[in-house]
Amino acid sequence: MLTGREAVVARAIADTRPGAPASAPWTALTRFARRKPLGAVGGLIVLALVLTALLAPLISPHDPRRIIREADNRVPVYVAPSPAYPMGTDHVGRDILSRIIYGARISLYVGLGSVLIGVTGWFLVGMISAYAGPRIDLVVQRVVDAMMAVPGLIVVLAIMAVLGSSLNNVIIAIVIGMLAPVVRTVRSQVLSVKEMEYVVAARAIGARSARVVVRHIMPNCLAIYLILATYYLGFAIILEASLSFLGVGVPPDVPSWGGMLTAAAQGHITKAPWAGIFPGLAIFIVVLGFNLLGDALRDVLEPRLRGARLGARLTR
Amino acid sequence: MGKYALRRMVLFVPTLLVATILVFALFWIVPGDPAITILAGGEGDSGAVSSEQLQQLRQKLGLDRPLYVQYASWLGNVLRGDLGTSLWYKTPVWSQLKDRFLVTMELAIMAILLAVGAAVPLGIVSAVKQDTGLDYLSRIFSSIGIALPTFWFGILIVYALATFFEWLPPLGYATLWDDPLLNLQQLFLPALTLAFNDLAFTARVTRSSMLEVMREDYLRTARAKGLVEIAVVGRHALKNALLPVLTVSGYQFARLLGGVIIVESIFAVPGMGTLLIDSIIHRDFIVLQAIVVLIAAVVLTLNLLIDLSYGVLDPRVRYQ
Repeated sequence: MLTGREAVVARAIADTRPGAPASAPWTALTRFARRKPLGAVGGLIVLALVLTALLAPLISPHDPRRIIREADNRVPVYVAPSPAYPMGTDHVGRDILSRIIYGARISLYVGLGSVLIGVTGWFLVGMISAYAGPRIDLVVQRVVDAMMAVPGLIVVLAIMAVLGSSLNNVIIAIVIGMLAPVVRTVRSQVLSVKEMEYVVAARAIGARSARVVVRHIMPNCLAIYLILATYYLGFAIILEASLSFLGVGVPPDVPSWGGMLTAAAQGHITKAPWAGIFPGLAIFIVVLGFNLLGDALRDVLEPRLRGARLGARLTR
Repeated sequence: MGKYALRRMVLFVPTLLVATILVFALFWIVPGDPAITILAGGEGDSGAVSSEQLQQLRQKLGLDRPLYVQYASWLGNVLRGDLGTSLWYKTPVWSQLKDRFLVTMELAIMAILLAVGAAVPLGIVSAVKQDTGLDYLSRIFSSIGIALPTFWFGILIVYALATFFEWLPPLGYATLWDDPLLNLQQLFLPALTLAFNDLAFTARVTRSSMLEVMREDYLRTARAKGLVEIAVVGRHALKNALLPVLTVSGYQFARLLGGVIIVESIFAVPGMGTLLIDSIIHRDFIVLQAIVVLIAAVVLTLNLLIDLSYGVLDPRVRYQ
């Protein structure tokens, strides 16, 4: 029998064996679910969001943008939830459930778009800032400091004011809003990885900077990238909702969860509570899902980060 | 301490300067010519703009000068307390801004007091009773609080109050000087809405910071010499655990100033946030610029004060 350290080593070797059974990803998933049940719940929520977005045309009962005309030519304004409209209708007579289903597409599009561009781009900038010498670092850090001084939502609002409201402008604005927190987090992570023994060893045997970065530092920052991407998906979704809620996000006919709440905030909530409750619930559940998944990924992949303020710059 | 304080203060000026450059650059470089945008109005019907109008406005805004001259003269005016003239209301920005600035600050300060006041006890209980039902309850509470969008929570509060107490957001607004009691009543709910999200986060930070301190040797010593638990937690643990909470509260205050915009629009509070949205709709870049710079200055000053107080509270910081 192997005990203690040897058992750990043996298991590690077994895990990396090339001929591992085909079900390995599945076992990894179930093990993750058993270790982190809340994270698994988060993962399921995210999966549900993706499926809803993909299958929107198949599962939504009505056209999300069209004002419904009933048989007797009446427009069903603020009809309470019923079998015909499971979540009721909104202030101009559109089906709320269909708008929430299609809203998943908007949320996911904005979330994925801004994370793929923003987290990836600012990740590289953070890395360069940590690695390219003091002069570049100083400039980047002053810009980050200055941007940190303005709340994220105000940065994004100001950019929207300049660009004008459209779906892609929302992504551009959120990407710029991500600059300061992402660059700062990545830079401090790279600075600590840079001092690790294997990096020092690589440099000692004469590896060039580019090789050290690509072969040693980047792979070790992959986990951080994944964790940041998960948190910032939630961040982007809530920012888009905030912008659309304030009327400067996506155009009003686009089914955005945040935009659906604007009427509710103007006093309509007492007339039609369903129109104010369901879209908000959708945002809440999805953001909770991304946060739970992010927490679990952080605990499993990078326990050192526990307590670090990764998802903390969420801005409402 | 003197050297530490000086170093912090020296860092403050360039950061604020970079912030003003960024704000200036955003509004005056990015989308071609702000004069066109302003004349075209919010709907973007640029067809009706005559070239004379454009020329006039450019001259008025000083857009015909080189950019660095524009920036220097704008900065000079800001330093002298002149934030410019509103493009939409045609009145000095500062006269519009000053009352609203105070309202927003009052709201934000109330919210941060509420948040920290509730979060610290919650975090302490959660840490002292780690892994009990109480701890789980407060952790679930903070997970929910972090994911709950401020605007939705605000809407739900308005709904609950309207349904159960037939209360609606007030149309008027009483200042702290005219009617302190009414003023506090009016700002309490917006402040609570604003605080909720930060409360959850601050409670989480307090908990993890307390848990860390509770493992320290000097706590074992305090217990070993026979101190009652409440003195151990209250006097020895809390004092050290609160330092990270202080830093976090500084950042939280900055975030609150963002959330204020949303909460003010839900509860019809005449603060800086409603003016900001207004200036976006009217494309009043002068007002927008003034608000952003003002907020940056407030946040940076606050961070400086926190850094300085950190130096006083934790002597180790001074020697780094």
